[in-house]
Amino acid sequence: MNNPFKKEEKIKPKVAIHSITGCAGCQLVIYFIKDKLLELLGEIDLVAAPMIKGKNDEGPYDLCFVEGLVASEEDLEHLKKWREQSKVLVAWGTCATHGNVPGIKIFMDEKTVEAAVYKNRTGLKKGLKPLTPTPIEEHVKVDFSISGCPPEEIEFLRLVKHLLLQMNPVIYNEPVCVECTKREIKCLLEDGKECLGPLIRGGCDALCPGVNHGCTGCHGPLESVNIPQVMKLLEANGISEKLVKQRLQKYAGLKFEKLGVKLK
Amino acid sequence: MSENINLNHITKIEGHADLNVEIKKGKIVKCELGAVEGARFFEGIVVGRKYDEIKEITSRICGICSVSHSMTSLMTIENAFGIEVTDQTKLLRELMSIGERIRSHATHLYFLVLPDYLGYESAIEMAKKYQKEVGMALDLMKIGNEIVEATGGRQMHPVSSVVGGFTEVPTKEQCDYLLHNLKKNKKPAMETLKLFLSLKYPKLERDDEYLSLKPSDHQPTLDGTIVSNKGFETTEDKYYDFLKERIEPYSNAKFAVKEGKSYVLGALSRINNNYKLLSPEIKSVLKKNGIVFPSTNIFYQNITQAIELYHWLVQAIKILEGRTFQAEPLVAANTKKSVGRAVTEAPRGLLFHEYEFDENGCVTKCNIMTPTVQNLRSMEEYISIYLQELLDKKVEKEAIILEIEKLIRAYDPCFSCATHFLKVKWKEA
Repeated sequence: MNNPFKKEEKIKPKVAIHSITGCAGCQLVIYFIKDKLLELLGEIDLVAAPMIKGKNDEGPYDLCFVEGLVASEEDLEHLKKWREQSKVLVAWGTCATHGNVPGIKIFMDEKTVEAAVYKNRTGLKKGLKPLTPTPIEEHVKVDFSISGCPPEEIEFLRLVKHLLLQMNPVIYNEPVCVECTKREIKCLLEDGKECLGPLIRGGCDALCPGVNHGCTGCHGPLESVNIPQVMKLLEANGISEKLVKQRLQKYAGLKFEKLGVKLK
Repeated sequence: MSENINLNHITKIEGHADLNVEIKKGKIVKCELGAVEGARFFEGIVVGRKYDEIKEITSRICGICSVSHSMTSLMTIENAFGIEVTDQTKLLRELMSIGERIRSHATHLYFLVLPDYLGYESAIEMAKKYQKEVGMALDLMKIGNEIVEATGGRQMHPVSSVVGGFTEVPTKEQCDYLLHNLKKNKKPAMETLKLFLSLKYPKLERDDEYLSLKPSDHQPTLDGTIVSNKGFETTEDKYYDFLKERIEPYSNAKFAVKEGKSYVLGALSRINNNYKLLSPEIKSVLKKNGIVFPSTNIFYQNITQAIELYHWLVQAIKILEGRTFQAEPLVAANTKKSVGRAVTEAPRGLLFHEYEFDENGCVTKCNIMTPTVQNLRSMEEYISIYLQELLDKKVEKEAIILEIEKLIRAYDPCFSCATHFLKVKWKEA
């Protein structure tokens, strides 16, 4: 991808932080940036951020972060508009990159799931009609994908910094295990516990194993990973295939299916 | 003459919501506040799943109150299986909830509320003139987040709190650091209270029912009976029996009512019902400013959040002073066919979870009622009242919209929780 932030440009890049259906947590990661938030905002022109701004501009944007997944017709309309208006579009967080927990629905009978929440719903307002929950990558071209539920502050800062410095940003792409090794955390799998670390993209500094909790997979899978090998390991630790499949449906089910794992 | 007010995707709230008002001859004929966030069907997707991942899933309902959803979820599961956790676990959960309350209130008060009262579109714009205030906000948000991080392993969607206890507890170094930072933030928290006491709020009063938890000897977070100013009293296992959820075609969030009527949740209800137990220090500041509780002014949600911000900061210091935490084994779960219910105080008010389990500990039915779902009817009614008042006074349209937004923001609504949030468009027919 060509970096749109031109060196000779004195003008600050126009940045937008938008959301479709989600929990707002990924946006909060940005607004919760410790000690550096105001400094960062001094380097960019935050022209749209409806969660914290009353005045929000339409594009064009140099850089647009999108949180959330497509779950309604209105979501899709907004997403397509922002794509057209943005030079660089970032899928920010696991809803945007992989569909996250709402994506569990695609492995169930969707009508039954809907009926469990809204019984006999009629006359629904235009735009509210539910769509099969899908990550934004299913609908528009995405320039950078940063997963995580929530994604890490450091990955946001790194991407923005690299763009501002006219570098070609590279998104971290090593398994959680690499970070466990670096932090000298005792392997939970070797201890006979449940941990999805070997399958999952790190970048979190092995956050969950760091507090003695197996990786639950919130960053979604690495592209090249030996899934059957890890499944065997988990089974050896007494975790049934059925349960492993349920676990893999949770954050990035659609992606795991694309990598050849039958999750239904 | 007829005209409409359509606020689509209202800004500076959490999630997405629309307001549609129809006015004929200066009178409101229709007022609909709806969550337009896409539905995520949490109550449906947890069905068939094992108890040990339900907290992890329901936490994702909301980023700003993921601790509340996590704690309520764990307590619901533990109630179902008859698990009694240790006192240390209860204390750590309370501390984590306090951290969330601090960061949530600080974010809401400074980023979503204050710009309206000082005449700015955002806290970022405001920072140019009010650098000190925005700096205090960021420090308070930081200490809140650090408490959640130290107790839950992550500032959002906490991981180390699980069914039966904690996989890891904060170290002495972490506790010392928190204590140091909390003490440093005491002054900014008091200044925040004084700042929010000094703002001019509209007066919008009504004979409302204020519901909250009421513990016997402290301000509420995770325990206490459920009470109201109208003499209502019940326990968490019976709470839901008094409520009805209604579905409207214009909203992906439902509307909860009690005996057919709206009710109010949040900081105002908590302080109204537990005022007596506030510290003499806080009471004296309130007295000096001529603020009296109980209050029926809905805009005092802002003041009561500022009161809570200071109260909880002091409380966190009390909890941490001279205390260390020891690793404890998790209390094991013996799954059985059962029903669990729990009610806690999320930053925005009472949060209810209910799960039914089969004998293997898999969910067969789930029901969750968030504070915003319960406040939505009241919000809609108040918008109607306030708007009519403003129309009668022939207030300019732009000013009306700002006032209505201030009213909505006073509830600190979370439309991600309820499902979504609000966009504002004024259309004249």
